[in-house]
Amino acid sequence: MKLTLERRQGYGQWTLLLTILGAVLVALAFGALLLLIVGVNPIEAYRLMFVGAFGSEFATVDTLVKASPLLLTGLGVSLALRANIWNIGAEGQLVMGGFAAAGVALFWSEWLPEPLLLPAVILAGFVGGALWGLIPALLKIFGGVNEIVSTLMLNYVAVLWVEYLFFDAWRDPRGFGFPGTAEFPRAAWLPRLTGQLHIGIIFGLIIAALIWFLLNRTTIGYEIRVQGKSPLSARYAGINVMRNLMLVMFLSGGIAGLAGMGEVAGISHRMQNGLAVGYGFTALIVAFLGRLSPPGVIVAAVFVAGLSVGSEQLQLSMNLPASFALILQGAVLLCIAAGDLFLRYRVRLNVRPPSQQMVAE
Amino acid sequence: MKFNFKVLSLVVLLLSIGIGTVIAQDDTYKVAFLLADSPSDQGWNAAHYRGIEQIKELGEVVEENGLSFNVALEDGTVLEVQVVENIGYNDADIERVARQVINGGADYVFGTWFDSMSAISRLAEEFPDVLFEHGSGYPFVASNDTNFSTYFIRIEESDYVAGYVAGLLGYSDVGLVGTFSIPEPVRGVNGFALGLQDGLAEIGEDPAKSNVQVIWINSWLDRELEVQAATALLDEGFTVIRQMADTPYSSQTTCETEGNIAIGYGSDVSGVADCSLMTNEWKWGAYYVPQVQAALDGTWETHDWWEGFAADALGITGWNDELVPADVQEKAQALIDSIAAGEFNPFCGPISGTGLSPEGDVVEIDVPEGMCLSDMDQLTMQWYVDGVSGEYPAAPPDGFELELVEAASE
Repeated sequence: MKLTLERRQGYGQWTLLLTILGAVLVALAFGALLLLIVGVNPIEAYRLMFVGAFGSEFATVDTLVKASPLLLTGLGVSLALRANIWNIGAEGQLVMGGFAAAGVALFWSEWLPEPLLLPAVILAGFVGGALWGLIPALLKIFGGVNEIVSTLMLNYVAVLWVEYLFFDAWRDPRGFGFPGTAEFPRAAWLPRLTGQLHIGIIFGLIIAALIWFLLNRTTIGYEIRVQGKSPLSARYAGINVMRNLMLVMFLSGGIAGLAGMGEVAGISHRMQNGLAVGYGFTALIVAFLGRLSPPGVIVAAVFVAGLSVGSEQLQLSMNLPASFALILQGAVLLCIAAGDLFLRYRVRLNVRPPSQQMVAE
Repeated sequence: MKFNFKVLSLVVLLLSIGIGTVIAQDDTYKVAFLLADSPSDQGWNAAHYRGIEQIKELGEVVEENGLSFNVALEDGTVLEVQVVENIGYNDADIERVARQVINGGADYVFGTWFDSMSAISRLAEEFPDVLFEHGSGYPFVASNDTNFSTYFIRIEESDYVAGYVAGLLGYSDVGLVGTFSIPEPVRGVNGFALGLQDGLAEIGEDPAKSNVQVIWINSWLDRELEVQAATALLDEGFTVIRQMADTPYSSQTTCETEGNIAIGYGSDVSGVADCSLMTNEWKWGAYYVPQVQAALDGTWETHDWWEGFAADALGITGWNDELVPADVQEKAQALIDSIAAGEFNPFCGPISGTGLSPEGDVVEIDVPEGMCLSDMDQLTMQWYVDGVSGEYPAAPPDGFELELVEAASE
């Protein structure tokens, strides 16, 4: 008698829903155990977390503020993954989008008519990230460089580059050396919906719809999906794999770049310390939680943002150490990722020897 | 099944304890301190937390909850002190946490690090009934006249003392691990160098031969960068390393080789660096305790507070009795007393130095005898006194000139 895993041929909506719910329950149970160990009532803790993330208008807005860069970077990463491209570089693409947007906001306002400044800032954010995303694609095509390595490494280059700018070259000239650029002119500020929530989240929703349309309703989208499932058959089918690789990385980077644009033009109104705080890495979690589908990524971004904002309550209301929130977040995400196993494989208890089972089937 | 039962009974037990500890309190006043990192950092946040804990002296501690605690005051009020750690450096995160703290009933909120400045000043406008304080900010973000104050400690006074001690001991070449080349650390570097030169002069050495070599790590605290910078300076031949980063790793690295000397900064480093002469320490409690008392008494007023030894906001700790003879320690104490009494100001002329002009040229800067740097001159200090070498801080803006004030007459 032994346990075996059998690959599933596919799964229904119910299996998907049950697996995700099951994973969340296991994660919450695991978290509850940890909370019990430190002597905290887990039900109360979870209630506080939920209230902290979604319990009031303020809380919901805070969660959406955090969800907005996660949504954009998550969409970028998931689009690339659909083409089987591992873009670990969303952090760098976010930063370069922020850099390009900041450059336009700071230096183009002198000659660009005021109503054109904001569109130029937004476009620059996209192009900055897109071009940064294109580099690993070109490296892969012309040098055979693995994109996991190149996208990861380019993150550090991007972060150091913008640090050089706000510590040195672009530092506010009236700032007596304090790090950070000057504040952008108001015409370059991204309009806000409420509180700190800017229209970047609407970009996220529109882009989610566009990606869905691209993947499901266009020829290129079909090619991207084929390429993602099997690069070899895509090549045999005459699909221009290289062109699609460049296109996907351009779009993926550009979408992450919009997240960086949102952070500088929508929130801080200057480029300063705190631009690269890891959204581009969390994006991978968001993309996988969302099962790489645009609607899924929307839900996952709000969920991960809510988890992160809500778990602050563990410290604020229950006086647990800040690191406890991180442990809980990690546990929840790990369980959900592990739940993936049950989607792709069926667990079976074998009582008969394998040879007999094969005959029986 | 057995396992489940055990867990269940544990749940029930702890649930009942949890519910039991929730007690309603009527007359409370809530003060919240926001911290960038954790008080376990042995540096900046540890120093703030030391000061926060002194608030316990105002009454009797009735409850402790992690970093936070409640103090029962004589008049029956319960003072809730909430401490929130690891908030980080992202503007949106800082504002969100601060907002949650305010929604949670905070009457008085302290932002204890540079990056919380924008969020604190924005929220001060939005919540006129809550008191706000921001520490270690930009010189031009000033208090308002209703509910927002700023505060900082003149750490450079104690940097001067640290330099003076090193000078009295005859150390003339010092490698310095600096943080950012912005006015606050630049003041500290200059204060240290001036103290070093005065100490050397006092024992008959030529102060002009002294050299303070700065490496900026562009971070307030970063273990790896601190170790790298200290190692680079030691490799260059320096045997005396002045720490100015918020965590003690440069001092620790220095002491790994026998015969080296470290000079600690911020929070006593003697525990991790046994070759350290001493540490000049922040004493934030000197501000926090009276401010919280004033808020409770209703005598709180807005101000831009900037004090040092005179307000007992600085201290020298971790004296190494083997390396620093008693007479040197006594001289240091005498110096502290005269700074505290206002008899001595390290930033009075004659001082000469160099800095960058807005065009990028090196220009000479002179503070003549009888004149001193004004507070604004110190808050915008972007030049080195003679005897400091390293990459120049950024130039001040166009048209910038020293104000200078006359030295207080004897």
